[in-house]
Amino acid sequence: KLKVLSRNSQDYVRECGQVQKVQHNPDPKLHPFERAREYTRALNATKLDKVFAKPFIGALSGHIDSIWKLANVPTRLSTLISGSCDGELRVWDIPQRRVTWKAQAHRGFVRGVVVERSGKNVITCGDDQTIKVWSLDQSTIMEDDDEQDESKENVKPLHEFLGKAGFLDIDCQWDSDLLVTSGMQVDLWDMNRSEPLHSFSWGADTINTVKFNRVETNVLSSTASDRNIVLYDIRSKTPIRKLVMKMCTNSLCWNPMEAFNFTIACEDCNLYTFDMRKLQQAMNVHKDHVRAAMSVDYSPTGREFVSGSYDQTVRIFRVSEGHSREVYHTKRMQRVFCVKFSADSKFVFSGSDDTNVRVWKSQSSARLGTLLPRQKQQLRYRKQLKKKYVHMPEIRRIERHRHVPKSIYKATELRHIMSSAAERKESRRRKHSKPGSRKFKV
Amino acid sequence: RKKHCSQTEENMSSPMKNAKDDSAVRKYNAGDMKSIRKKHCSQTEENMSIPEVKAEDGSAVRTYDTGDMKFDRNNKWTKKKDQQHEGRNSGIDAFRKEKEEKFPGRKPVSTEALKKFYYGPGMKKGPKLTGIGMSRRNKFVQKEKLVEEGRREAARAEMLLTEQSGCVEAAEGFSTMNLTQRDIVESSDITSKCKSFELKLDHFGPYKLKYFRDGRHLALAGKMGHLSNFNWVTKKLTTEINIMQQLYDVCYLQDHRTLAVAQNDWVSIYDEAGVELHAVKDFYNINYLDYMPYHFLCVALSSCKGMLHYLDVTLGQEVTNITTGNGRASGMCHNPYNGVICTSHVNGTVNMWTPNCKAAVASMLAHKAPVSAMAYDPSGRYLVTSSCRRELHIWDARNLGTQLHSLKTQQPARQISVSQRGLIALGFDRDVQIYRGIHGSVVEPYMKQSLGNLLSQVQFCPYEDVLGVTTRDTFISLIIPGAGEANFDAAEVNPYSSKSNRREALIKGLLAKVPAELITLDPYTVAQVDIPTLEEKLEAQRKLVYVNVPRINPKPKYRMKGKSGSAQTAKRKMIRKEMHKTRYLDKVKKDRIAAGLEEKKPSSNDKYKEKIYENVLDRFK
Repeated sequence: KLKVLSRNSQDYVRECGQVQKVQHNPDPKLHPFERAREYTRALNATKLDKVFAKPFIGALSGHIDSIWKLANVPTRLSTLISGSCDGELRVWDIPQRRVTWKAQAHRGFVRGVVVERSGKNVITCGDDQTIKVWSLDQSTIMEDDDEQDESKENVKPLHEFLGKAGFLDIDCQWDSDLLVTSGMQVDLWDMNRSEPLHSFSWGADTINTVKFNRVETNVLSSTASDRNIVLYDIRSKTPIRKLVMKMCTNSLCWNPMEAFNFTIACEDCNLYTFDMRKLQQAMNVHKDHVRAAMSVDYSPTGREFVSGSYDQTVRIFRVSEGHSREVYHTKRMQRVFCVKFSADSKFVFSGSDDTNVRVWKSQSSARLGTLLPRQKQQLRYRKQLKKKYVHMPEIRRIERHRHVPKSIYKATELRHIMSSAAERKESRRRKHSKPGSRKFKV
Repeated sequence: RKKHCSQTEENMSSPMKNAKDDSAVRKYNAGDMKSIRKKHCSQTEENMSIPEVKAEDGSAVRTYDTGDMKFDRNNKWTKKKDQQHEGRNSGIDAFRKEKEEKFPGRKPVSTEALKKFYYGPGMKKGPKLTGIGMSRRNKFVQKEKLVEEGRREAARAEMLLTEQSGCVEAAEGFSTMNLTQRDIVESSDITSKCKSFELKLDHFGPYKLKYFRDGRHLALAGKMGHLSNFNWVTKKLTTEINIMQQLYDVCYLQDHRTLAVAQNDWVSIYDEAGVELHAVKDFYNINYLDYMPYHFLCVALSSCKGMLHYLDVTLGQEVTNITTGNGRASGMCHNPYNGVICTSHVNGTVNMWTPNCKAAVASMLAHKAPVSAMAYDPSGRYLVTSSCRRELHIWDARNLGTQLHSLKTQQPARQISVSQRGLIALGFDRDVQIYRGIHGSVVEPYMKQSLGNLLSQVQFCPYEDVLGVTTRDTFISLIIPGAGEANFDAAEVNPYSSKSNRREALIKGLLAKVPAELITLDPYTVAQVDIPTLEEKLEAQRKLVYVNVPRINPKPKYRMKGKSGSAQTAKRKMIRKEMHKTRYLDKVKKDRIAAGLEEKKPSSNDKYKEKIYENVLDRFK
């Protein structure tokens, strides 16, 4: 029996035209250097990520004063609401990058903006001791900006509540129509009553922020200027716990997936993640900002959060990691007062001192628009490669590198020197004192 | 049931056969459609019914008439009913059993195919991993499961390979050694017949030859300057020039149109029109050329000077050059498995080189006589060497120093080539012998061919059952059944590629170009954990014993107001240097203490710590 290998070339060319068939043989003999080639591909993928990293999508300008608060609409992806320091409220259409409507909501700051869970009403509070309820869909939509200025006076709130003192923050419960405001004390409101249902107070100072838990909806937390963080339960109408930080807390956000975890943005440049049940110790300290962290907001996935800082940067942190995975800055962006994750976790909004709302991608090299199946597959493959070789020094270096403005770079360096010196000093003190007498601090 | 399985297997593995059946069916007239359908039905039903009968009755007798579907179904149904009468559970069990028989699951993968895709013993059977936590261990276990699944799928995908490799099976009492080329050509098909041919090349002789990676193109370089490059399958000439210089070796570069030629003085690169694209004048007196396609490296060896050069083809620059030593080099080849270059020498050694190390990464005494020829097999698992004392050794290339086979030949082999499926061609003075069984336990002669003139070179053609042989005045293409790999992978090399395919493949190859630094003896070290070897540990310890403070040359900042005079600058420089020295020595001291080379000086604090007096008066002792 004798057989000689002979192939019919017609079998290897497709019938229609000159399109080539791709013949595969998984035999490792025919695929040498698979590891080395894969590594090279992973390196290229990491570099390509850097090439395609263009996170800034656009700035929404129009406010005349700094933007103090941003709010999402739970039922819509494309709408964003911003309140500024001169009391103006604007509702933005993000894809069109224009204002849907605007109103002079308050005299003084718009301190708090929140959208009701039905997505129909916007509730704002301000320094002028009022809470106002606005309908999100205003009929007076004008194309021209000048016309809108005229129409600004015409937009009227649906209801108005008068408080005893100025309000500093507002939030609404996730599964009912209860509202909570902060200021002199924490007030619990029903939408149908003009007086608060209940008032909580623990400590003497003003209460800056207040936030409902999104999962355990009867729990809420507040932060005050006397460095306190207080947790309340509205069922028993009592404060549950109190935590005193070293410095004041500017913002607080509950993890939307893990009911008991929350992250605070602290005046000491760090963000701290706490477990509600164990407040003695922070679960994680997120360090990277060089000035006070002003605002924090969780991604709907609960795995990441975004923070804005007085050092003019926006950073995205992973919950489990101590340092940020991403930093966004532009020359024109000034101090960031408020940040927000979009409801699909693909975008990040920041409102800053330079009166602009900025829209960023949450993954800096992500591609917008629809992708072809082959593109999707390619991206998936690249992602997997990067994951596989993430510990290789070259790839790690390229992946971690972020350019920051010189001032921030220098400040980071300085902070490092200071913190390491303090650490060294503390370690020496510990070494030369009685064992066990100096306790480890968080 | 077994029979049935094998039947279905056969059906799956031979789509050609099915197609033939279909075409046979199509030959019927339109009027006979009904009968055909009936026949088909009966066939399918046959297939269905056979296992049932066997399983239930235990007998292999088929009792049903063809085409009587109803009866079959009824029968089955009644049987089921009977079982239901017996008892509900037993009925369900029987039903399940029946179901199991009907759908026996995925086809089991043969262990032989699985062996091909073996990546090591894994966590459970491999060496024990210490110092990792439970969660990470679980991650590894999960990952291993994925790897295992991938392995099974890859092995299963072998079923889809369409081509079958060539073979010769001699009848009893006959030997394959007696087969001549004429016999083979007579009994093979027309396309294979065209693969056996001879070229008369009278004037510019002895010729060197190289097949391109896809096995379609052939380059011939005559000693007297004749260079030709052609598609040997279609016999279409691409290039033919006379360089008017002596040519020593030739090799293809990134595509089949670019050739590197070792000329009288230096190496030149030619394109398809015969234009000299580049002359690498640093490569002087070169005898051997080779090309590593995944690294885009052209390797050149000058045997008389003992110099090994690496040229990066993408940049046109030399990567490194190495002095080989060990006397005159008698051959060079590269290991396709790990990209290590091998040189054989007259002192009987085979040395292995990488561009990252000036010394040989491995050296092996292959023979106690000059090495006359050597070759790697294309999978890089075996190294075949021959000596002037008529020995032929086959080595395990991954486990250096392990000799797998040893033979005595009638003459010393001047040329060796190993085919993709493991045939070894030995070129003697005036004949060629082919051995088989490199994978098995016995290496035995397979075929032979005598030549009219003195042999120059032999090389197997990749992906074809062809051996190319050049002599002083001819090129002969011999058909050797079972030499080439039948199923190629188009993502690596594609013999049937179009122009656009080739362009795309080149770009993709360039993007995945493996850096020369990654060439190591074990190609899987790339993504492994770097654990220091004993040698490295000793070296680190040695560094601690003999301390050499590295020199620095600080450049003090320029300062205003006359503070940057030469004296001031020199002073500041001195201070910086002193500081560097003390810091370095402190660090070394710490390391020495950690390594146990030096004892720690007790600090004032420790003094109090150690002395614990039981009695107050003890301190006056």
